[in-house]
Amino acid sequence: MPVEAVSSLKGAGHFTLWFLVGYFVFLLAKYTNSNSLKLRIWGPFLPFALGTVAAIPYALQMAGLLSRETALHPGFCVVLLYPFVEQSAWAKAWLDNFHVNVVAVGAAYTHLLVISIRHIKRMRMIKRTA
Amino acid sequence: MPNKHVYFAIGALHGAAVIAWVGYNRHAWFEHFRWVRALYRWDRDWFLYFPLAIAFFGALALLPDILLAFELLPKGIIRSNVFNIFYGYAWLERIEDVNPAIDHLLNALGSVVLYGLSLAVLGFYAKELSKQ
Repeated sequence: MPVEAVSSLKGAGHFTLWFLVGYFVFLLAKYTNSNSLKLRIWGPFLPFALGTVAAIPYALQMAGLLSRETALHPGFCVVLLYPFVEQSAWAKAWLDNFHVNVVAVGAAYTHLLVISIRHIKRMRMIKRTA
Repeated sequence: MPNKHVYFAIGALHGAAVIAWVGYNRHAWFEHFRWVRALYRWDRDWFLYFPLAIAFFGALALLPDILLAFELLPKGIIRSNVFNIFYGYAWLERIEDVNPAIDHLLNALGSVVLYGLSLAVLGFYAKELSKQ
């Protein structure tokens, strides 16, 4: 994979992409398995887990612990396809704007909270009427 | 100047402290304050919505930037000392003139604070879900 001397996609871009992937995976899992309490409790943390892992190579570069050449090595594809995302034109076009990242993550996060609130209220209602 | 998320983070931190304080005392306050009893009459689970008020405090911290973005007040006035009531806004705006390294540090800290707060709020709801 060629190493390009271009500015890297910021950590926020990597975080946003995989946060949204985790968010949609959680939504899909919720709709296919709506009765699982464990999914309801731990599922909303999946976007954070994926986003954090995706941003690790960028954070290591910022801390000077990793060079850009190393981070773009094909081996780093195990870290959520970091080299692939880093050198993608579509990722740069869509995710290299901090405001877009904030709005996208904020909207997804708010929806996660709303889902949790609704579920808690529903379970409390069932408990009270039982 | 620090990025906008730094101001939001400062306001959100304050909001989180206020909400935690209300959450800790709400049962004790039920006996003494009419507004607490009114909240319970409106919705027994009103406190579930309360953490969303953290965003309100964050937005409050961004008010000077909002006034500037909509050109409601000029930059000279926004950077005057009176706007320090918004979590030290004017003082923080001058940070870049002092030392850009502090600017970078504030941006990083702001991201960490927002990340931590987001996880803490999710953790609160996860805890409530696990009680059911």
